[in-house]
Amino acid sequence: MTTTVADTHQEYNYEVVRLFTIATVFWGLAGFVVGLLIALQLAFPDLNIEPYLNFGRLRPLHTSAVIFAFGGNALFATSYFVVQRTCQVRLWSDGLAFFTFWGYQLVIVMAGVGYLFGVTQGKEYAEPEWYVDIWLTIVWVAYLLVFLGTVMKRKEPHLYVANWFYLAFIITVAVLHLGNALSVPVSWTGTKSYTVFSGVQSAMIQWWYGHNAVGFFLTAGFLGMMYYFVPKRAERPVYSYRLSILHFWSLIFIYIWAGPHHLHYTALPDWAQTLGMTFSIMLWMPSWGGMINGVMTLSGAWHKLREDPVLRFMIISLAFYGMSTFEGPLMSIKSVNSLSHYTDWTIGHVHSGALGWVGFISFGALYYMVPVLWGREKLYSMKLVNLHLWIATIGIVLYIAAMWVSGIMQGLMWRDYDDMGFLEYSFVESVMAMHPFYLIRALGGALYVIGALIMTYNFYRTIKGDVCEEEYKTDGVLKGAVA
Amino acid sequence: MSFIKKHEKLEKNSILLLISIIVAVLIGGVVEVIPLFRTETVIEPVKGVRPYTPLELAGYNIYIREGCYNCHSQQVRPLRDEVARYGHYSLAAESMYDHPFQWGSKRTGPDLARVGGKYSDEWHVAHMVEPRDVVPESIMPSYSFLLHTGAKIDDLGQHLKTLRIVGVPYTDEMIENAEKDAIAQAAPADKVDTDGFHGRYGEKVLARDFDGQPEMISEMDALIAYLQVLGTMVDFKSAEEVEESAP
Amino acid sequence: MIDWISQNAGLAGLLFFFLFFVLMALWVYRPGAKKTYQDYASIPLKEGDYD
Repeated sequence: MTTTVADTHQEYNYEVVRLFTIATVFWGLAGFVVGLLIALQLAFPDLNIEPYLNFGRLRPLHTSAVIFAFGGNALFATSYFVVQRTCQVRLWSDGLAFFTFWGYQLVIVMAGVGYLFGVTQGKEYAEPEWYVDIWLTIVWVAYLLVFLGTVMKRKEPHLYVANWFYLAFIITVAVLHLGNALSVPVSWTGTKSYTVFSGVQSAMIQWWYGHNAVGFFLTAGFLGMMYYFVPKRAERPVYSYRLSILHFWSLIFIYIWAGPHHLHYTALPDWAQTLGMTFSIMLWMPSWGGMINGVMTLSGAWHKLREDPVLRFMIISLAFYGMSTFEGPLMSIKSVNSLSHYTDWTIGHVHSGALGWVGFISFGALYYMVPVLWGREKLYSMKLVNLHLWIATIGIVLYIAAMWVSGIMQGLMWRDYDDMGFLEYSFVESVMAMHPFYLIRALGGALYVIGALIMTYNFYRTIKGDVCEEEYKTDGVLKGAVA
Repeated sequence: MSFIKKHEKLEKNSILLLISIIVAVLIGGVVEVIPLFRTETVIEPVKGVRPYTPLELAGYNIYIREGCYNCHSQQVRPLRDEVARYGHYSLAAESMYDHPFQWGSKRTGPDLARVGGKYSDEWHVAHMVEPRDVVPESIMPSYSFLLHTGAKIDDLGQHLKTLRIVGVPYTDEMIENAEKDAIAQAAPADKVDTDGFHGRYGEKVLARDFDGQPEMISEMDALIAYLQVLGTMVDFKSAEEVEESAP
Repeated sequence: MIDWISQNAGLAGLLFFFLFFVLMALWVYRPGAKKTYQDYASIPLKEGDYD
């Protein structure tokens, strides 16, 4: 891993990428801490402070912070970084790029503050009210223009695969947002609005949007990140460029259909449920196509895993990507879903994908980008990267294992009958049984937060230009393999 | 050969790539969403299902504002243990006036689709003020502020008018009397004449002092009015006939 | 025509998209293209000398 002193290349616009990178770390910490707080609230209900810090108002703050603020800023930062470098041209318009930065931070603040006052549309992952939706649409159109403008004036004739995924992410999130945010405000000066659709249609459109927020925001966008940073860090070309063509088109086509697996055994018509299930199972193929392409990129470079914890972040993220995209199709089978739906198992699945895949590939990309963006030769300390890696990995495993156990136990307790033919457990008995697993989950989350704090400190020292002496020999080569 | 050249163009021509992505992405959405709007196949008209009264609507809005859907679902599935635990499985028609739907996706707390009439108003008030007083093992946050926060009912007419825009059949008369009906529903029967109110929303509507504070209409009144109506609208005899006659 | 499609939507859709997939797979894995994809894949690695 030889990084020559990368001068902050005048040709590329690194200022806006630096801003987005700092925002990513900041909102990441904020989102993780709120996540830890609400996890603790479930274990210790007295931590709820009505009315502003009740779980009901903090949960959307957590989901929006980690998905749209942390994930969103990571995608902005890496997409601007990758599109410039693979097209070998500066961002199309600096002014518009800076507008997307400040505009997007405004979206986050407006939505976040609103949640604490109860300003929400009541739809998961689409809680921001109508005026935030309008402003987000403006910022997102600007984002598309900047990205597309850069792509169209590219010097490199071929559009590298990472940019397809970023483009698919940007344009599909726009379509989803426009479809799902259709609502009529009660008054133009008020915050309250009513969605245009209701009941079954509202449910279908919500989860057409909801699952594809996962599909395009947390998968396609981050696959774009993976397709640049894994080859770059392994210094090996993508395993099979042809496989990436195949799995790109099948992924974006199939993902859209999968929404109804959130609505199994509800009042949604059966044909839609079965359609959603079938396509969710087919989704396993293109997802693993991406994982195989990423993991096999290391062929010829496996030895790098011995010394490079940043590459280790990326390989573990791909492992979690493979695991959660196998667990997903399994859970979308109706009979399995009848057990898992409404339980903590879903939460376990979400967080193996979120903490494992989204979090780790973002950390890998950030660890790669920060030295380059600030023109430093290398990170302050590799040992700290490795410490973050193992603390966070243990945190994830504690989190998801606890949720699997509690989720499946919940599902089984709800459906258990005694020998007299009556329900064995009352609902609250299942709530009582959750407590130990809520504690383990909170511990896992705490470890993940600690890991993020270590990363932040490492970045702080790296940006300042410090290098941890005892780790590097005089000629800048790592002294001994990082454990 | 022309096909190969075409994909070369695709790779080079980003606009074509953009359009191809949009086409690939729209197919799934169109096939799954559009057919749902042929209402005759989705929502069989079921007797008893009616739009919310102004006070129930205010309660629905508080339910959303407090994020109750984060822990409670409102959808009983047609599974043996759920029907035993909660009651008749939820029908599509029961949420046809919910803008947005509140089926929920997590049961940290029990499902509420059929909670109407299961607990007394007093139980609800005590439970909201301090859940652990009533259910010692509960992990629900407390909502005591609802009891002394006045419900905002002066703009309910505007809410009803907006809902009519998106398709809920509120009449002009309902919109004009929105505030009066909210007061009529929450005040003790002897103090206020509720004929007009029942005339508009039907005899079955519960009209009583919900929060035990006759002197004011609090957010607790609205929320309990909403909770008490959940799952009670459908008159299941007529639902059975619809099910038999359904294709 | 339209009701034939709606009757056999399942079959029609299956055939159309499976055919599309097979064509795309064949086209992507056609022998002639190995070289071109090799250097597409190495775009990130060859971007100039400064990184």
